[in-house]
Amino acid sequence: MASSTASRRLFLEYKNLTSNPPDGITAGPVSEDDIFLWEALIQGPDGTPFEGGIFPAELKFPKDYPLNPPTMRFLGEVWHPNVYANGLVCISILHAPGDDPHHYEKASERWSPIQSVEKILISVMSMLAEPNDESPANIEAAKMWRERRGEFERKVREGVRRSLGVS
Amino acid sequence: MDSSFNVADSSDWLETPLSYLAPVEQVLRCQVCKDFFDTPMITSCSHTFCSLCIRRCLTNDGRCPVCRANDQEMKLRSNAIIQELVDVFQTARPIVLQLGKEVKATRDGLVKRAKKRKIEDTDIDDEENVDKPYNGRRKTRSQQQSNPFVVEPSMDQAMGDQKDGDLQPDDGLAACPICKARMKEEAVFTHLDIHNKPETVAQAEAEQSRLTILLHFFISILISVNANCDSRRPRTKRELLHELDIWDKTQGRQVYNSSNGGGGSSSVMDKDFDGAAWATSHDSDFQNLIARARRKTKPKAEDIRTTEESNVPVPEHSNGNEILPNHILLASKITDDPDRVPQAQQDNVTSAARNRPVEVPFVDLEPED
Ligand SMILES: [Zn+2]
Ligand SMILES: [Zn+2]
Ligand SMILES: [Zn+2]
Repeated sequence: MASSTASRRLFLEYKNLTSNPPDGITAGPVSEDDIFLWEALIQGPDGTPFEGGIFPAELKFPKDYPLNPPTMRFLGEVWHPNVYANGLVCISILHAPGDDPHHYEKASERWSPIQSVEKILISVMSMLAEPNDESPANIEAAKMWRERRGEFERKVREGVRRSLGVS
Repeated sequence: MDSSFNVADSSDWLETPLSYLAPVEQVLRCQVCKDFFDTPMITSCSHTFCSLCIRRCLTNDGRCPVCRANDQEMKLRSNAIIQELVDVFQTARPIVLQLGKEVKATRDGLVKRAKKRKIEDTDIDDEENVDKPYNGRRKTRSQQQSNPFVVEPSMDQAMGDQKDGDLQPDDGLAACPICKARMKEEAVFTHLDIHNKPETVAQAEAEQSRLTILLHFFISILISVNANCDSRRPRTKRELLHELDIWDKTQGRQVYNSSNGGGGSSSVMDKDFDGAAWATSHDSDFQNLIARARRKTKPKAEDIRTTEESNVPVPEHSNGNEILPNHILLASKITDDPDRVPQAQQDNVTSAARNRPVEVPFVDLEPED
């Protein structure tokens, strides 16, 4: 998609996100010079071990957005079955319909040009609350989440406290 | 953020008492580009998108973006009533929005004055606090009354200027396609070595992406021309060229650079571009691409012809403007023969447009093994 189309759509999404923000989410371009690189802040969902945490993440959009999805990477430590050690988020809405590395995702859950930054961030928030252990990106975290839930939650809470500088 | 982020969208209504118009406006916007429909087309599954948007989506994965049903470009139909709705809505929009803002300002003014009167009646000593958040100094009542309608400048004006803005910083430098560092155009290729790819792998990838970019270039031309055929307000050759130029500078350029040793001189849209030489030197690429496209779209194979027939006349547009510059003729010859256009497609076109859309073969752009 012509990149003027992509940037215009990103401007529109940014405008809409700032004038009508969903609970617990803020997002926008890092600088005015590059509309294709955003930073987002996601609040840890209440009633989960992530509660109280603020998780910064970076979104990189392809020049043919919205034909293809952005990539999303947490900038701090996030111990979660669906987050790689380098922070990269692995969730079906971020996968293009054509590429299904795990062969389990329903096409209806994957990326489509009508999805949006807002929908991605809401999906990631609910991913924090409910990990999907069918396709773990962090196998160790997935195992701990399945077999030693108490230890998993303790580890997440410690991470949250460290990130807030109150360990 | 500054005013370049000030684009009109449905949330503008939320700041007025007319917030129920926000969902109305949303319905009149395309779900792919989030803009008002431009030349709306309806799919077989009854979903409507801009012509350009749905053509790009179908070229990308052959599916409706809303319900993911399989669909084909030749089945698209013009959704004329939506275009009319968009047109009348857009005419009314700035006026109604302005009225909404004025009503809001009036109401706010009345509320403020009512509050102040109450305070003046009850506790005069405390009135210093009333207007402090605004300027730290108490305004007189006449100042407030003289300017109850503070209306923001029209967002549509701000938006008009930036709609087609080129986001590349105008510093004469080129960006590394990997780390985005900016440097002299000719330095990009050497710089890419930093990213530590074994040379042969890098070359193979560059070759693959060069083929891919050529095919993308073909396809993006066809898509633009087709969407222009659908439009009630076809764009001129100059406007089409401008769009292709943006495409070339953004998606095209980085691949030319990495595959041509960083010279950057062979850009397709350059003014002094030698179309004939370029076509000759890339002839084998085209043959290769066409062969691959043909293999993947067997039923359409006879629609695609080879690059030898390069002196075929360009189809004339309704307004008499020539659509394509000479060096993109290669792509347009696919439709030069009316007998080759499928019947269904002709039916579509007579109702929707004066010009025959070019059918874009569905081509899988993944590398072959
Ligand atoms: Zn659209
Ligand atoms: Zn559909
Ligand atoms: Zn680099």
